[in-house]
Order: sequence, then structure tokens, then C-alpha cells
Amino acid sequence: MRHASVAAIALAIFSVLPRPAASQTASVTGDLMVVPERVEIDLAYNGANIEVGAEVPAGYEAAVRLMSRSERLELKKLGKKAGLLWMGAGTVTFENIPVVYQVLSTAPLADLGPPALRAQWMLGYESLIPDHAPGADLRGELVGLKEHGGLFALREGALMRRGESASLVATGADAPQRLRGTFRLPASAPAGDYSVDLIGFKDQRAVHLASATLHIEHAGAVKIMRHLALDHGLTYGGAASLIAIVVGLLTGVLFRSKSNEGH
Amino acid sequence: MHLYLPIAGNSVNVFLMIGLGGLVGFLSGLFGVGGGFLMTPLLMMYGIPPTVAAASDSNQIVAASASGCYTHFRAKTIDVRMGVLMLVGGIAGGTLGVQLIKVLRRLGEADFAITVVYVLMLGGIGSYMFFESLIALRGRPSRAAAPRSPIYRRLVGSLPFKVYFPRSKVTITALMPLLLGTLVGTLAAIMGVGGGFIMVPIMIYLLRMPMHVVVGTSLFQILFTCINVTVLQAHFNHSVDFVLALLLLLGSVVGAQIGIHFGRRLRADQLKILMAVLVLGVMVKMLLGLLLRPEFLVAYKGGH
Repeated sequence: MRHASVAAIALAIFSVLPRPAASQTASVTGDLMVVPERVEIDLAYNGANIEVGAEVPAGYEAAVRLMSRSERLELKKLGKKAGLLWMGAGTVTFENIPVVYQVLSTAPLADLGPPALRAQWMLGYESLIPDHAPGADLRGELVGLKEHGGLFALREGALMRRGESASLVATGADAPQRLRGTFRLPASAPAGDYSVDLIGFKDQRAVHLASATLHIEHAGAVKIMRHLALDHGLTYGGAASLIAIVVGLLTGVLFRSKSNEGH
Repeated sequence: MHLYLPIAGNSVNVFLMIGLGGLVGFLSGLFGVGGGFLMTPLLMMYGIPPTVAAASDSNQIVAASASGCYTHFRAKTIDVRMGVLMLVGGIAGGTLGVQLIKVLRRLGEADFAITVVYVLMLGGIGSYMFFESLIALRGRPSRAAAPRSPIYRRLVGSLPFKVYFPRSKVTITALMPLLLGTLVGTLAAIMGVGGGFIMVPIMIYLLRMPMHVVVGTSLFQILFTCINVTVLQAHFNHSVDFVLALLLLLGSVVGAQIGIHFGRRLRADQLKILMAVLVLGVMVKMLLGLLLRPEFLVAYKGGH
């Protein structure tokens, strides 16, 4: 709730700040704001809503793309063997697949531009795994798996225009458009730096308008426990076992004394 | 209310995890099983990485079995001599299993072979137990009560290192519990299960131990086997999530005590037939996993 309020205030300020109109600038530019810019993963962390405020020139459609680092992803392929049993049927490797990939757009991606243009700006799953790439036949399965975990999402039309909002300053026909949307990051999204890019589309052409970075990092008890588990595994395992034994024995004693009280 | 799991890298509902721990702890106290066969797949369904689910489950089983062991120890229903022999085998098996996981991670199809063997083993043990208990409940003499076949007796009788186990009132070669312990320890590490639901029928039918000693002795060896697995998993694979284990064990230690008290009100044959239903239930679940089309035709590696 606190994060949501801060985000709302920040975006409201962003939306009323005076800026040069698009027509006043030599080149096409835009603005992008990400709130919060830094997310701390502590014990109470349950994913995060990342609010995005954007400004694009009049007449442009837009998309905001959020992406984590890319990795070589090796998955187990499942197939039916002997016509009866589902089992591991080898592996499939996808190259340069982001762990997290989400897109917000003002319109369906297909309406923004031709496939080649969208692929150039890495918008849409086909651009992540092109038809000629290894594992392309299992693109739908990978996307389904990632979407199921909330790591991948395409939210077409979820980047909303704010022109009608009463809280905004009045805008003319040539004035920049103010857009707003929300990325929902699941708790399983890893720590690291995420790139956020604003891309504008007009007349079958695309232009990169602005970018921002989202930092996600471990903090507090989570950071300490990860340090212990990863760097002092033996001590950590011994302590975890010892605590489990103590809790188990204490419960046994407690139940025994309760049981004795009953007799 | 959610808590973030530092090693699993995901968050979980606190009350759901405690409740899940309670359910599995109840089964542990009632039958002398660890409950990993139920817990690990449920955690995986919840989005916990398979290796973290298995390793953290071993950690919580330590608490549930310690809780149960204390109560059985006070009631003198643990055959410590038998348990120690199984434990020696269990530690050797657990060490072997942890190393095997590293190899299995690189092999995409190994899980299939393990699952098929598991399904066949559970089906065989569960069916035998079920029908044998059913016959006993109907008042007819069961095959388990009858002397073993001459081949079995000759085979076991020919093995060296015979030891008398006063608590179980049986004389048997020390090699049997050693080998069986090794099998259970290996399963504990590879599958993330304590192996109790295999060990319990084996103790009843192969080691000829009385039912009231079986549950306590099973918990005794599961306790130490899972301590070994927890420490090794934490050291070699860094896959123990203590926050997850803590949530589960808060429920399981209480559930284990309730299970023990509930179990004392049941006759041995009633307990056996319930155990048989549980074993068959696990078998059916695993079989369905092989027969039904998975939701996605790709999966993250490392699960079993």
C-alpha cells in the first residue's frame, strides 16, 4: 500500500510537470519514469508492482518493454514414449532468453508495425525466439511455462492514455500524450538490473524514446541467509538441522507434559 | 500473509505451508513415514524449484521425526540396535544419493526410470499389504503370520553376522537392516523422501518386527538419515531453504504428535491397511503423472 501511494504521488507529479512540447524539440523524444526504481527483496517481499509513467509525442502509439538479463536456458523436453507414458524426451536449449520479459502497449502489437519492425525492437515472443532459432517449435510451450510463473507477460492495451484524466493539465491536439501502466513482477523474478525501454510507433516506423533501469536487490535477513547458505553451506546445514531437532524435541516434551496434565 | 524464501527465490503463503506441514506430520506420526513423497511434489506445484523442495523437506522431516522419536523413546517403542544398523546404511545411502543427484541433473531421462521403478515397487508393496491386512481383519490367518518360504528362510539363514534384537524379539543377520538402510538413504537424497513407506512394510514383512516397534524405529532412522541429507545438500548443492523448512516444521511437529496419539487408538491390522491405502494412493498419483499429458511440454530441469 505504501509503495502504491508513493508511486501514485510520483506519477501525479510527473504528469503535471511542465515539459517542452514535442513540436519544440528538434528530434522526437519522450520521457519515461519507473516507480519505484529500486526494489528490495526482504522476508516480506511478495513481488512488486512497478508503475510506469511515459510521455510520447502526439500521434504516436507506444510500447514499454521490461527485460532482465538474458540467459542460455536448457529445459527438459517432455514427450510420449511407447505411445503411453509421458516422460523426459531429451533437452531443448533456448539462447538469449530473458528471465523476465514483459511488455505494455497502447494497442495490439500487431497494429504497431510489421513483424520485422517489432522483431527489431524485441516486441513479441516471436522476436525472442525467431522461427529459425533452435527450439522455435517449442516456443509456445516455453512461453506458457514462463507466463504461468508470471515472468513473461504481454499486456496489449494496458499502457493507458491519461488525456481524459481530470487531474492532468489540459493538453492540446499537438501536445505530448501522457501514458501510464503497471508491470506486475512475481516474487520469483530474480535480483538484478532490469532495462525498461519506451518505444514509439508512427506510420510503420519505430523510434526509441527513452529508457530507465529498475534495480532489484536482496536485503536484510534474505541477504544474510543467502550469504550463509551459499558461502558457508556446511555450517548453515548443521544449524538448520540442529534447530529442527530442538523444535522437534521441545514439541515432544510439550505434548508429553500436556498429556500428563490430562491424566 | 506471505514470506519470501531466500534460497527458493519465491514467496509462499505462511498459513498454507504450516497447514501442509501439519498434514504431513500427522501421517509421519501415524505411520512412521517422513511424508516427503507427498510434500515434495506439492511444493513443486507451488513453484518451489525441485531441488530446493526436496532438500528443504529433508530439513523439516528432521523436526517431525525428532518430535515423534522423543515420544516413542519414552514409550520404549524404538529398537535402537536395529535402528542404528539401518542408520549406518542410511548415511552411506544418503551420501551416495547426494552425489547421484549431481549426475541426474545432467540426465534428462533418469527421472523416468526412477519413477517407473518407484511405481512398480509401491504397487507391489501396497497391494500385498492391503490384501494381507484385509484377510487378517476378516479373522483368517494371514500369509505374513505363516512361516516364510523355505527358500527365503534358507537364504536369510545362510547369511553371516546374526544378531538378536531384544526389543523386536527377532534374530536376523545384521546385513539385512544395513542394506535396507542404504536403499532408504539413497531414496531420501534422490527423491526427497524419507523412504519410510517402503521401510515400514519391509520391517513388518522381511525383518518380522512387531508393528508397535516398527513406527518408532522407522522414525529413528529417518531422523538421522535426514540430518545427513540436510547437511550434505546444504554443503554441496546449497539447496536447503531454512525459512521454508521452518514453516513446514512448525506444522509438522504438532501434526506428528497428533498422529502418534491417533495411531495408539488403532489396532495393528487397521494401521497396516491404512498404510497400504496410503502407499497405493501415492502409486496411483505417480502413475497418473506418467499417463496424463503435462500442462507444458517443457519443464525446468532438476525435478523428479
